[in-house]
Amino acid sequence: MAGPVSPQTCKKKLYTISWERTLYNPFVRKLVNESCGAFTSLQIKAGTDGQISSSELIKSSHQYRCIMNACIEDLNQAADLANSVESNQALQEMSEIFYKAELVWNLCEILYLENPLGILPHLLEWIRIHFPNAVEETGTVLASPNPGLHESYWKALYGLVFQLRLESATKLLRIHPDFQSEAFQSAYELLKKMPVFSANSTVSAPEFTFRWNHWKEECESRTQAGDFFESKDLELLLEILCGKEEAFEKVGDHFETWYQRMITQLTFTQPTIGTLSLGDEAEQFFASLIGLDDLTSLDATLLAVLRRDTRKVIGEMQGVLDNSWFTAHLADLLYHAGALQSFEDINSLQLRETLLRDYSICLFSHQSLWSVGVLYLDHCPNVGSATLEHLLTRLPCQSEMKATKIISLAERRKLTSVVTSVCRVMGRRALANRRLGAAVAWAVKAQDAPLATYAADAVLKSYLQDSDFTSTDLLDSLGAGLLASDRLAFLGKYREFHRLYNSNDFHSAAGLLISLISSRIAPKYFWTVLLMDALPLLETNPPVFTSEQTYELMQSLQELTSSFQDDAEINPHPNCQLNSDKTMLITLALSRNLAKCFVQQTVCD
Amino acid sequence: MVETVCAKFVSKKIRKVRWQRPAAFGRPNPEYFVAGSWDDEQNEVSLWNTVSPDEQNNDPIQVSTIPVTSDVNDISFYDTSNFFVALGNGTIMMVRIDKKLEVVHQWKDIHHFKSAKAPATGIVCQSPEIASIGEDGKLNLMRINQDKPYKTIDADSCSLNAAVFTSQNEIFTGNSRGMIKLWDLRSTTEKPVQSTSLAEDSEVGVSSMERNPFQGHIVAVGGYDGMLTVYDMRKAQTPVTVMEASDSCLNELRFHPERADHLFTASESGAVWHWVPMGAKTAVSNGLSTNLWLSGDLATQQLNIREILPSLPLAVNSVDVCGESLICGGDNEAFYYVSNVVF
Repeated sequence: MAGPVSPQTCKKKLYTISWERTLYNPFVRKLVNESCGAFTSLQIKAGTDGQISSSELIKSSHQYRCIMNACIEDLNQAADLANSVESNQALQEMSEIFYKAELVWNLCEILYLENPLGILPHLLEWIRIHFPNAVEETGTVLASPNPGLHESYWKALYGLVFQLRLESATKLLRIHPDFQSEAFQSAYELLKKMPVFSANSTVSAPEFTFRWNHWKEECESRTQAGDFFESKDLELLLEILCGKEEAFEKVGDHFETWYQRMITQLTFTQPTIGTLSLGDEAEQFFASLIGLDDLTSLDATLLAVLRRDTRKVIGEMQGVLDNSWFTAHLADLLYHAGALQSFEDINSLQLRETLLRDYSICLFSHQSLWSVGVLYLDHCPNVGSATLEHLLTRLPCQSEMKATKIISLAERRKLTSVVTSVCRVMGRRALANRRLGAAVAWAVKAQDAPLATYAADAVLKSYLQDSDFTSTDLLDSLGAGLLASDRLAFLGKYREFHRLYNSNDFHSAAGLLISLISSRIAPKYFWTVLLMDALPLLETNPPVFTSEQTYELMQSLQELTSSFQDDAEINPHPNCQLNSDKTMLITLALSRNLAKCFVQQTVCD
Repeated sequence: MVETVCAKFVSKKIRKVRWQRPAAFGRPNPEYFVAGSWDDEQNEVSLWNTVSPDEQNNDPIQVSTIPVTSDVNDISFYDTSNFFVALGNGTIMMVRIDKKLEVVHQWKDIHHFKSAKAPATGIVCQSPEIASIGEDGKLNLMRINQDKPYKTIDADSCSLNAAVFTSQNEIFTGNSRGMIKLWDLRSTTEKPVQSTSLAEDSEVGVSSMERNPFQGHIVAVGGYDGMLTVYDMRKAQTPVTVMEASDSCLNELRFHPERADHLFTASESGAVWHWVPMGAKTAVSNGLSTNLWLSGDLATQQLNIREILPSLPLAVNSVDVCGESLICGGDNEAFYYVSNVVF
């Protein structure tokens, strides 16, 4: 859990509590980002129809495993440098989890992606990679002053034979002091000529079986002839080569895990075993070696992989890990390989999509990793865009840059509601910060009429306050953006009125003023201001207002005075208050202007 | 030497990368660069060394790092050892590279709204002038030995996104709605000398600006829509050249400091491009190279676009080039160091 909370501060504040996830660890974040690159390039290769060759899939799988191994290495290095026991332990635990994950992944790769005819050589390779202790042991033996008599000599030799590292085994045999004896020579020869079933050999399975049986018979007959009577250790070696159950019982503690022993034992008993019977064999081995009661989740997962039960594999891994990095990427890979099984009610496509979405949601819960999450949702054809819409609108924006990034992400994915929503949030933020121009700009971008009206009102109010316009640079360049709301349009026109007036174009200014009033586009609270603005224009001689225009002004004054009393609207500023002084002033000016108009008209007539 | 790319994942989204220009004359390739992160719980500015003791491994090594209180939005070098950092909480930091990074001065909260802090979005230097811009639309002018900005211009009602010195006393700014303005720092009125819009009847914001290192009057401007617009400041009302550089926001543009015909761009869609002038050699002999960026319709015939990196899945926020070394980084929490860039 995130840090402890002291009871004093608890009273006032609201805390969000979240699980600390492995993915947030700085070393694991590299894995998140690197695997995202591998994931996207896999999707590009698969294209829209999802057709991809198995060699490409294996390449991708290798890439994922490389990334995992790099992460394990980083974690181990960090654990070595850690300055406290706890952090060392935490890092080591994490590294172990990834080690196990990689182990499972590799097995999945062999069984589901490579899916070779002869499975055992591949499985043996898997064991060789993950259990290098036989080689390490040999190294220690060889480094000792008298290797042939080292106490671990035989253990090392058996270890090499278990993993069919026959070349190293024969080399080790040669350095034994009794190598020249008949027994050693005989064993050496048998080891040398052991037929090995390999994935890329030209020998067919029946032919191999024939040769292998022949070789085995020779081993047995030599043992029975008493060739190895003088050395118990050699006798055991021969028993192992013949795949005798009792022999494996004797060396049982040389194996760290049941699957190590199973694969070795199968190598010496049924080297050409098919993939289909592997599951049953594994179960039998597990039951006799460990007992089904002591099933760890790793065992359960491995058994499920061997039984080709992808559903169980996903389920087990989902249960063990605190994030869906593993299941999402594996399910995607298996889906492309056509190996992903469907659950009862959801098909493999939906399963993949659900796992990808889970992973993405997990990334979105992090302050910074959300951008990676976006890319995974792009590959969820059914729920992706709705989920993205939901998640993006809830991202906090600390700066316009982040907002711009989110908007551009959303625009590229045609999520117009996200664009509108982010613009609206940014508009509100600008309003709260008294950045009226920016608020108008965001409102225009969002095409949000209420927000635009609100922001325009705020600009009008600040005009009343300071008798000067703010954000003129913006207002003069809004252009078509002014149409976002009537109030904004009025603001733009009113600003134009000022411009015309200041440039002494009184006739146009007067015409604009009348149209603002007669079209009822002006908010009522602003009418008084408009009428007061008309005052200086009414006093000009010759008049700029025609008699019709003057009537228009009179009518609005009339409307204002009659409706004013019962209008509950609160005036934002004293300038909007129509008191008797103002009324009188305006009435006087209007009548004088009307008189001037009549005089002018008569003169003209 | 072969062009080699080295990727390094740093577990922080990168906002800016800048080479420390080599101090010694005649050593064109830089050794150190600084990087700033954004959008994380704990952001930082870090110093990296690209010249490792053994020749085989050219993995950059982190030399020093300092935590910062907010997003790093911009980094700009003042001289060879001092640089400024513009932060998301409105503070400008001055940092010195003296084997390690060391904060020598801070102008705290010089960008702010009425009652909250405003992100500082950019910082530019033209010794001795230092100018910062922010989301509050303010243009702050500072000098290195002064505690406070000596002048603040209320330059824009929207957010300022980019700025560039076009001469000792003139600064060019671009805002989030594509308004670009030229300011005379000596002027006593708070009015721009010139004001124009990036594109008529559109709201496309300015995302980046860069001036030609040799001809300060040539300024390249990048937009949210990925358009690259070149202005000649002597007649800034209309752009000289408009080119489509990307289908998404142009996060940064950099001219090569010595080979000014070469331009490098980084985009929101994850592309890093090198704009190679095709006729550069012949143009030089004709004495025309000076006008390459001003020749109007240069899009197809005279420029070749080369991808420095295969397109990345996430945005590249920053690119910088010095000598034959290029560095870029972005939202996939990695930077890419390219040595021996082919020109």
